[in-house]
This record gives sequence, C-alpha cells and structure tokens, in this order.
Amino acid sequence: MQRLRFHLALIAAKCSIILIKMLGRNASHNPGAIALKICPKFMELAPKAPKVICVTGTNGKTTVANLLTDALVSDSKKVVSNRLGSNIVPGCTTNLINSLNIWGKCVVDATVYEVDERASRLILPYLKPDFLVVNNLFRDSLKRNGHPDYIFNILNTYCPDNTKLILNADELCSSQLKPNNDRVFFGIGKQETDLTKSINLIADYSFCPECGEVLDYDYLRYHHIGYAKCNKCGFHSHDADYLATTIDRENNTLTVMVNGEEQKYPLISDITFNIYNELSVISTLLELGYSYEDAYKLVSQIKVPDSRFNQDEINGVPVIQVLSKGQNSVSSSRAFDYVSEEKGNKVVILAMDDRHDRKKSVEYIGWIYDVDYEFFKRDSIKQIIAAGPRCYDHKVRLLLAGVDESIIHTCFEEVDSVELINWEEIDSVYILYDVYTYDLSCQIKEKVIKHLEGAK
Amino acid sequence: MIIELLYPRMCCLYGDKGNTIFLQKCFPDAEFVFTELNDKPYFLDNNVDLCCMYSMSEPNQEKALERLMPLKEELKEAFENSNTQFLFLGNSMELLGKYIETEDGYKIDALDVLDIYSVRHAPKRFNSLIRAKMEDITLIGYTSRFSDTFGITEELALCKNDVGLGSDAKSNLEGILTKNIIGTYLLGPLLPSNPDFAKWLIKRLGIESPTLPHEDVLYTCYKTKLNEYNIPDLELN
Repeated sequence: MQRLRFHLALIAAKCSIILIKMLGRNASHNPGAIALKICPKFMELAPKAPKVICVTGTNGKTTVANLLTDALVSDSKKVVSNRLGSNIVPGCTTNLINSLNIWGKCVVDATVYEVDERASRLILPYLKPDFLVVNNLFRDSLKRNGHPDYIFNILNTYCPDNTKLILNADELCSSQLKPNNDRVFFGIGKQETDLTKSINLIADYSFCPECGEVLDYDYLRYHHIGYAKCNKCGFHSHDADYLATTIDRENNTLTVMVNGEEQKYPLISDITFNIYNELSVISTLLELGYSYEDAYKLVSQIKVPDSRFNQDEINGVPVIQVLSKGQNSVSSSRAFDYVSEEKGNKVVILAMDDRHDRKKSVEYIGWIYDVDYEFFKRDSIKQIIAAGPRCYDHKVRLLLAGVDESIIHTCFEEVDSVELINWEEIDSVYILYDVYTYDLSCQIKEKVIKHLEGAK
Repeated sequence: MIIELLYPRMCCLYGDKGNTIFLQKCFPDAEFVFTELNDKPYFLDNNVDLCCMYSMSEPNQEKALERLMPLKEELKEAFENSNTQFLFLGNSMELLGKYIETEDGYKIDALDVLDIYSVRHAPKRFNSLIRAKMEDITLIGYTSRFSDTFGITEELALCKNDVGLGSDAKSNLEGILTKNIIGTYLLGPLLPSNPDFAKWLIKRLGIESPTLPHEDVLYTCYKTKLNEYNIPDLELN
C-alpha cells in the first residue's frame, strides 16, 4: 500500500512539474508539497542517489551547496540540487523527485541538498546523507531559530549516526556535533591579520564547553572563529584535516595542507567567509574520493556568486549595495566591518528593517545590540542615514556606540534617505540592506544614480 | 557605583548586551565587574549596587545552576538582606524558582528563592510583543522563549500586560518584583528601549533625579514605538 502511495505521489508530482513549468514558474516547492500530501513517507520511501550530500549551517550554506553542485556537474556527473527552491521539507522533497524517473528509479549520480538547519530534523533522518557539511552555527532569527544551542541540539539529535560530517574546526559550536560519527575538519591556520582577543560584541562559545573556564585563542578571526584552547582542562579546537595555511591574495592561490602534503588551489574569493566556503567544497571533493589533481580542476571551474556586493560607478562615485542580513549579527557585523574599512569618505544608508513586521507589527529590533555599530566610529564615515520604520532605534544604537550625533540622520521611508545626503563631502555611497529589502535598496540606488547623473 | 554582570559570556542572548552598553553610558565612572562562569558571584562578598543577569540557552541555564546551587544559602541571604538591586532578564528569572521542568518531564532543582516554577515546551517557542503597565510606567518589548513560569501572583508580578503574553502564557501577569529582585521575560535592550523604566531602576540605586544619556532621542524612539502598538490587529509574533 505504501509503495502504491509512493508511486502515485511521484506521478502526481512529476505531472505538477510539467504544469508548473508550462506556467513559466520554478517547480521547486509545490511538487514536493503535493508528493508529501499523497504520501507523507515519500522522503523515507524514495530511492536515494549513490551519493547524498547535505549542506547546512547559519551562513554560507547556499554558496557551498551551489559551488559543490557546480563542481560535480563540471565533472560530467549527473547531479540535482535544490538551488532554485526552498531548503525546507517540500523543497528538499522536490529535489528528491528530480533525482527519480517516473518509475521511481534514481537516475542521478549525486544529490546535493541545502538544508535549513531548523528543518533538518524532518529531513536528515529520511535522506540519510552520506555527508553532512556544516560551515557554522551562529545567532540567527530569534523567532525561528531561538539560539545556536537549540539548532545544535536538533542537528546532533537528528543527523544519522552513519553520516560522515565535514565540519569547520574554527567554529566551536558546529565542530562539536556528533562526536561519535565519522568526522573530518577544515580550517584556516593562523594569518597575519588574526587577533587573540575578540573585538566583536558577540563572541559566543568563548568559554570552555568542558569546564567553563574562559578560553584562550592561538588566533581569533572574528566573533568566536579561531583556534581556542583551555588552559585549565586542556580542551582545544579540533585540528583541521584540511588546513588552509597560505592565502595568497596577490596570486589568487589557496594552499591547503592535506595529510602533510601541500596542495595549491585557485582562490575563488578573497573574502574570509568565502574562503571557508571554498575550503568546505575542497574538503568534500577530497572526501568524495577525488584526487588533488581532479579536485584542482573542478575548483578551477567554479565561481562564487557574489550576491552580497553590487557596485556601480556613476561620474566617479561608487554606489555599493551590501547585504547585511537582519537578525543575523555576524552577517551584519561582517558587512559593517567591510564598509568601515573601505577607503574614502562615505555615506552609509541603513535599510535593514524587516519587510514583513512593518505591515502589521513592531519589529523586535534588539538584535542590533549584537551588531558592531562601533565600527562606524570612523572619520571616513561622514554621514549615516538610518532609513525605515526603526530609524530611531538605529539612531539610539549609533549614539550608544559613540557615533557623533551630527552625522546621524533618520527617515521613515527608505527611498527618502537620498534627499538627506550631503553630496559635498562624500566619495562613495553604501546601501546596506536585508534579504527582504533588496528591492528597496535598488530603489535607493536608482535615485542616487539619477542624482549623480543629473549632477554631471 | 559597582555594577556586576553575572556570566556575561553566556548570558547575553539577542541584544541583552544593550543594557550593559547603556549602563556604561549612564555611569561612566562606575566599576563594572564581569563575573565569569567559574567565579563566585562578586556580590556575595562585596558591596554591589546592581547585579544583572541576562537570558541564556537552556543548556547554559543548567551550567549556571550547577555553579549556583552549591551557593544556594549564601545567595538566599544576599537576595534577602543585601542592598544590591538584582535585574534578571529573559529566562535568567527562572533560576530563582523551585525548579525548571524539562520537555521530557525531568525537574531540575533551582535556587528556590521564590515560590514559582518554570516549564519548558521546546520545540514550541513563545514569541510575542509585550506592552505592560507597571505603576505609572508603560513597558514595551518582546519575549521569545521555550518556557513558561507559573506561580506569579498579583503581589509578586512586576507588571500587568495589556498586549502580549504574560510569564505564564495564559496569564497577563509578567515578571517579578520583590524587595530588591526585578525579573522579567522581556529580553534584549530593555533599558534603552524604556527610558521611564531605566529612570525607575536608577532611582532604586539611590539617584533621585536621573538624566539619561541621549534622553531626548531615547524618548522619541520610545514614543514612536509605543504609538505603533495601536496598529489595528497588531501581529504579536
């Protein structure tokens, strides 16, 4: 009976894919939802690909899943991934459907799933992945994710015992996952720019998980990312099996130490979080059995989609959109750090207020006190315009961070921010936006461009 | 002025640190004591004006209790007789009750300072905007938690909500106020978000007519937000 339901569900889902595509839409969510409606055990019953790889974590999972898929496809492997769809149960089910033919036979070499970390409890036990890649667990949406310990507990409970984990040795939460599973670690060794004490407001996991003592760091990159050790009980971060030793930004190479052998790869992005993303891809390829030479060839063919930055230059004035994910203090602090370090006098427009909450609610804005607004206390930042319904909250936060009140401006409508710019004193315009305010940031950019073109 | 932060590395979820940043601006000359997890609370052996503890994950609640339970009697004595004001935000308030019941029914003994107890409901999470009356002050903020606290009476409650969940999701009584203990499930930057409440707290520290840093901006922000609570059919979560 269950098999019959499974086949009916598969046929219905396949038909829906044809229909949805005829309507010109991405058939990424609904086919999975239909299949699950007919056969709730679809994910469990469906045959799996010879290699099933799941990617999860707070930041970087989309990038890693896409890079990995691209690498495998460039090796002429037949691979499906949920890159166009959702990363919760229906989206992952659709991906599974795409790996099967109408008779329910698996027709791909591998499936790559980007898995929402909170939804992983409904996905991992049924997909039974061969590999689970986890880049990091940071603070994320308070409403949805609670806190990283809660997400850790979900992954630790629901990841099958025979899944091999590929983990970030430099991140002390996710690297403690499933201690009895087969695990390998990647990491970036000590770099010249590293610190030994955190300069960020938020540094979770800075005390020993074994004895509670404050941890020391051989090196600390940002927040709690680094190599930690406990002077009391001897606990320390995992040593990386795949350790990036040299990041050569001039020659765009990344040297990785593997089993005592130096392997040189192309550096596909010089931003630190993307180097972690690349390292997790290299580690996964090597774990899949690729030789260094083959892995090198595949990595040479992949490109990191840099959707976080978008730059135009009008009459010599750069106008830069920077993604600064709301509720995500690490993402936002990284963005603030990047903007504050850029050369030249600038105006920064903050357009990160939640898109949904403004309609019928009052956004809980407490997360901005986890973000390093202190980075904006630089002489090169000439104006900061807090734009959106929570503009006064940003103003209070900026003042408490020590930013001079005379450079802070506020407006309730994001696009009105452009009217407040004092063009005399700036060389560049930075627009910081949330995932859901991208369109508003584009409207701001358009208005800025219009002004700059008019000023020609 | 001496202000102690209890276990600030692990008790600082989602903007709680905003209160520390704010207090540092309010009292630039104060001594701030950051008590680490393996250290004895400073207020047990020293005069402290204000001790703050913020919210934490559930595993960390258990770590905190492991450290504090051996000091239970000393702590009770300090809560009862010291001049320290105590501010407990989020689920740190739960440590003061008789026990915390986990999702699978296991009861973790707590400090038994107050006749209350808490029950965890994970994965069910309570998210809610809150507006509450406390004497002539209107408090606004947000709660987000896996647990409820029961046993809070009218006499014990810090405030009464007219918008959002109480400490027990079926009640409108929120938080605790007894002698020198102030506790609330409101989390994050409670003080900079509620200038009237911040002044009320500072007065309890012996300062008669406090002026807040950037007071005009704080009030503009507060009033703007307070006004938004009147949106028809306000979505609470």
